[in-house]
Amino acid sequence: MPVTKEEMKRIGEIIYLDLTDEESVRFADLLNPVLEKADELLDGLREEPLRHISQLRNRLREDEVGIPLPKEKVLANAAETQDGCFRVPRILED
Amino acid sequence: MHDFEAVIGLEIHVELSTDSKIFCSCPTAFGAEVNTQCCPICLGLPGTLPAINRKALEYTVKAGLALNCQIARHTWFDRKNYFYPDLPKAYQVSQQDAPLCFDGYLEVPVGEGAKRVGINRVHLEEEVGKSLHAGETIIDAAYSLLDYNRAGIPLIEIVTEPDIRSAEEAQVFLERLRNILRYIDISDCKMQEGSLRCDANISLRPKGSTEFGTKTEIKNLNSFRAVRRALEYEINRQAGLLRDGRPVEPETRHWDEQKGVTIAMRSKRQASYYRCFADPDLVPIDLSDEWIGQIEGELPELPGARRRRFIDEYGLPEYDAQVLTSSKEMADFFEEVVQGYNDPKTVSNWIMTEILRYVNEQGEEAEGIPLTATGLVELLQLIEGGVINRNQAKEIVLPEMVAAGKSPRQIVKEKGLEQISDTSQLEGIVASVLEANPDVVQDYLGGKDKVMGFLVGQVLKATKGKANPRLVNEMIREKLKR
Amino acid sequence: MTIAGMSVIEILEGQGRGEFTPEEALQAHLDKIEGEDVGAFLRLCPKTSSGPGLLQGVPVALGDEICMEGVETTAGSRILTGFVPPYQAALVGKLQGAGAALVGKTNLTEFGMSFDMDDAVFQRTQNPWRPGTNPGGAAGGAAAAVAAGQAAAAVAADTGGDVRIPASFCGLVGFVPTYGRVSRYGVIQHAPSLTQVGLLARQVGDIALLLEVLAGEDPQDATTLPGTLSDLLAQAVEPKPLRIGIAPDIYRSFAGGDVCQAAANVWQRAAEELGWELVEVDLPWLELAQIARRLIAAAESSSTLARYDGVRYGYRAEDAQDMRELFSRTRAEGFGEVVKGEMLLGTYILGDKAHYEAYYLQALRARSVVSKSLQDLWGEVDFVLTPTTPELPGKRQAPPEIFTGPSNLAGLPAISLPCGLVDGLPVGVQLVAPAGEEGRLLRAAHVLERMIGFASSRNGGGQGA
Repeated sequence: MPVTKEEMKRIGEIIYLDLTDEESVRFADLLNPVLEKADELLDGLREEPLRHISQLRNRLREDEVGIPLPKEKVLANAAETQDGCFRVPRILED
Repeated sequence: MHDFEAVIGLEIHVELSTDSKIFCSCPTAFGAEVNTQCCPICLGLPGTLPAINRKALEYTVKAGLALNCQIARHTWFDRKNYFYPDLPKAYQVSQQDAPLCFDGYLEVPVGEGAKRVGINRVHLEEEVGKSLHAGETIIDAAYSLLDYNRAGIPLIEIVTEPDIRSAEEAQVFLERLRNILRYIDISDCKMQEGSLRCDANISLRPKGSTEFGTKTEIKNLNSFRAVRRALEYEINRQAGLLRDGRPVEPETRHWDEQKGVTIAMRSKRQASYYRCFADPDLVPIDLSDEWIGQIEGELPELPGARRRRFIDEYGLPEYDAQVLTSSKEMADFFEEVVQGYNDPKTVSNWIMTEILRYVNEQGEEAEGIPLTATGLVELLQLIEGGVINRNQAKEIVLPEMVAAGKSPRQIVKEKGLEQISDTSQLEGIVASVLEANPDVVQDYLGGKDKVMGFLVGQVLKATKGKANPRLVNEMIREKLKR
Repeated sequence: MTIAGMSVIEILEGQGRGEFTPEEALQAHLDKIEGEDVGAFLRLCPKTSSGPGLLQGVPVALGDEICMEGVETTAGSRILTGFVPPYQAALVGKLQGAGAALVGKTNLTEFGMSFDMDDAVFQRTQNPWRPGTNPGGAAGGAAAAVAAGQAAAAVAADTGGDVRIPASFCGLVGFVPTYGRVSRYGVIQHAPSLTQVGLLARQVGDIALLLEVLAGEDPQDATTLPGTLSDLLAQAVEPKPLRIGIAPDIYRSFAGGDVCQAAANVWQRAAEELGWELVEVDLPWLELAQIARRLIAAAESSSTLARYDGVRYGYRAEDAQDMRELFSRTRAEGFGEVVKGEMLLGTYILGDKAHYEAYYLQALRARSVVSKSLQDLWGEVDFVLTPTTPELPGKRQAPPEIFTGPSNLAGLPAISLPCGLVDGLPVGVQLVAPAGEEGRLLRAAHVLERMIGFASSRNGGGQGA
C-alpha cells in the first residue's frame, strides 16, 4: 500500500521535519517506488537477520576516569548559553 | 475498595556507582558544577563513538544475580530514538531486544508469610542530562537550561511483573530492593539525589478476576512514601471511576506531592514508538559461564542468607536477625561489634533499641550508623567492668559519642562518671545509710529481701549515682549477714 | 615533472633525493589549488603539520566529514555550519604522527548521502578531467583534489561507493579496507554499520602506504580490528594463479556496453598476460543488496542524524518561541532534500512494528544472504572483478552504487582501479576481496595496475584500454 500524504506528514513529525502538503506529496512519491521495490525483493527471506556486521565481541573499557572537556569548550559551539548551561526556549511537552 | 484488587508493576531506574560514565571516561560525581563532567562523547558530538565500561556491565549482572535472574549469554545494545533536549544524541543507548538479565524474582514479606515479586528484566542503559526550568513547571518556564553532567551515567532499569497487590507491598518491595542493591554495592540508591527513581503502573480489577484492567502510569515519585501515597490515591481514584461505571483512561499521571493527588500529563507524543534497532557503534557482548561465575563470586552474602546465618551462628531470635540484616551497614556493624564483645544477644539489644533510634532519626535517606563498632565495644566493656552503669551509658555516654564522635572512655573521664568500686570509699556511706534506716534493716533481717533495692538506692543517691550498685549490694549483704 | 601531480611515493622519493623539501611539496599543491579551481576544497587547513615519518611532507586532503580539532567541520551539511570540533578523528592523529601535511577539507554530498556530486549543498565540484562534468560522489571533492594535483592522496568515508565511484570517474585508485580496519572515531557518518574509511590516490603503492599508517585497533572505536598492517606489497607472491570471479551477463544487465567492455578488456588481458583463471560466478543478489543497503543506510541515518537539533552546536533557527519550533525549524532549514528524503524513509521503515519487520528486519536478512553468498564464493575464487560504476557520470539508468554497495553491506575490502577511457573520461574496475585480505587484494591490484598501464595524469595522455 503506497504511503499517503497524511502518513508522510505524520512520519515527518516523529523526527521533527514538518512537511508542507507539497513536500508530503513529493517525499511520498520518492519513497513509494523504493518501498515497492523492497516489497518485491525482500519478501519471503528467512535467513537470520545480520544485526552486527562486526564479528568482534566484548570490546570493553576499564572504569577509569579521564579529564573532561573544560566548560568553555563544552559550551563553545552552542548558539545560546546562560549560567554555564545550554539555553533553549520553553519546552511545551514532556 | 474491598470489591477491587490492585495490580501494580514497578519500573525502577538505578544509577550505578561506577567512577566513570558508561561510554566515556567522564567522572560521575553528584553535585559538580554544571557542564564540567562532559566530553565530546557524552555530549553526542558528531563522529564520536561509545566504548562500554566493563564495570557497568558487571554491576548489571550483579544486580541480575542478586534478583535471581537468568543472565543472557548473548546480548547487545539498541538505540531508543526520541527527541528531548536533555538527550544529546536524540537516542538513548539501551537494551530493548536482549536485556542482560531476565526472569528473576525478589521475595518480600507479606503479612505473616512472604511472596515472590517477579522481575521481568534488568537492563543497562545510559542516563540523560538534566533540564533546569526557569519557572514553576516545565510548561510555565519561559526557557530551560541544560546541564549534561548526568548524561551518560550508567543506569539500570528494573521492571517487575505486575505481581504487587497493594501500595504497602510496593513500598516493602522497594525497601527490600534498595537493601539488596546497597548490599551488593552497585549504587547508593538515593531517591532525593535521583540515583533511584520509580514509576508505577497500576490497574484495578474485580476481586477474583484474572484479566487486567486499564492501567495508568504514575511518574514523579520522589520517595518511598510518595510511592505508597500515590498508589493509595490512585487506587481510590480508579475504584471511584469504576464504581461509577466510568472508564479509566490509559494515561501517564504526575504525582503532586504537595496536593497529594495524581494529575494527567499532556501526552501528545508519549505514545510514539521508539524505533529501536541494534546500535551499530557497539559490538555484541557474549557472557561465558566462567565470566558470570567470576562476577557471582564477587557478590557478598545477600540479606536472606545472612539472616539465616545470624540465627544459626549467633543464636539470635528470628526477629533480631531480620532487623539486623535489613541493611548491610547494620549487619556489618553488628558483626564487627560481636568480634570485640562476644555476647551477640546483648549487642543485638543495644543495636535494636539504642543505635537504631539514632539511625531512624535520620529518616529515609539514612547516612548509616552514627558511631564506630570499636566505640560500642568499648562502651559495653565499660559497663561490664563496672566502670559505668547501663543508665549512664544510655543517657550520657552514647548521646555524646554520637554528637561529638568521642570515645566512651574519654567521655567517662571528662564527665567524671567513673563508678566508685573501691570498698574503702564506700564503707562509710554504707554504714551511715544502714544507721539512718534501722526499720528497713530490721525488715531485711526479718527476711524481706525486697528492701535491699531501697538500701542500695540510698547509697547510690548519696554518691550521685557513682557507686557500683553490684558492689554496694554485696557490701550490705556482708554487713547484714543473717 | 612538477611536484603537484606526483604520487605519494614519488613525493617521498623526490624528498629523499633532496630534489625538494616538504615545504616546497606543500606549496606546490597549494599553488595548484590557487591555480585551478575545481571546487574541491570547502576550506584549507590553517596550519599544516609535517614532521618525520612514513608520510613525511606528503600533502593529504581530508573529506569534510573528518573532524579536525579547531577546524570547522560540516560534513557537507548546512546544519553543521560553524561547528568547530574540540576533538579530532583518530585517523587525523595518525596522519599527523606520520608527518603528512593536511591540506584542507574537501567537498562531499550532504553527510555523504548521495552519489551524485550535483547534490552537494555548498558548492559545485568539477571533474578535473573535463570541467563542467560531475566527478561522482559522495567524496567528489576528495577525488577532484587528487586528480587535479591539489593533494597527493585523500581520506574520506565510504558507505556504498563514495570513494570508489569518484575514483573511477577521476582516473584514480579508490580503496576501502575491511570493516573496522581503520578507526571511525571522529568521522561524521550517517550509517555507521556501512562506513569504511576509504582512501584515494594515484597508485596502489600509495594506498598500501596510507593503509599501513591508518590501520589498527583503536580503543575509541569498538569495531576496530586488532593488529596492525605492514609491508603490504612486500609479501610473497601468490603460489597459484589467481582465480577471478566475473559475472558478465549480470554486469551487462546493469551497466552500459562501453563500461562492460572496459572491464572485460581487463579480465581478458589478465587471463592472457598474467595467467589468471577466470571463473564465471552468479551474483543474483545485486539488486537485493542495493535495496537492502539503501534501507539500512536510511534507517541508521534517521537515528544518527537526529542529534542535529540546534541545542548544542551547529545551525540553529532564529527566534524560535518554543522547543518544538526550535527543533523543527532548525531541521527544516538545516537539512537538504536528499537527507530529508532518506531520513523519512528510515523513519518509515522503523516507524512501527509492521514496517520494521517488513523492511528493516528483511533488509538485515538480505544482508545475511549477501554476506553468506560472498562467503561461499571465496571457496571458488580469490577475488570478484566488476565494473566500478554502471555508467559514466550524469547518466542515471542504474543505481551508481550497484557494484560498490555489496562490499559495504558485507564489510569487505575492495579497490577500484582506472582501466581506460570512455568518451574521453576515465572508468574503473573493482576488485572485491574476502574480509581481512587487504594485503592480497593490494598485491593483486598492484599487478593489475602495471598490466593496465593507465596514466593517471590528465596531461600524461590517459590511454584507452
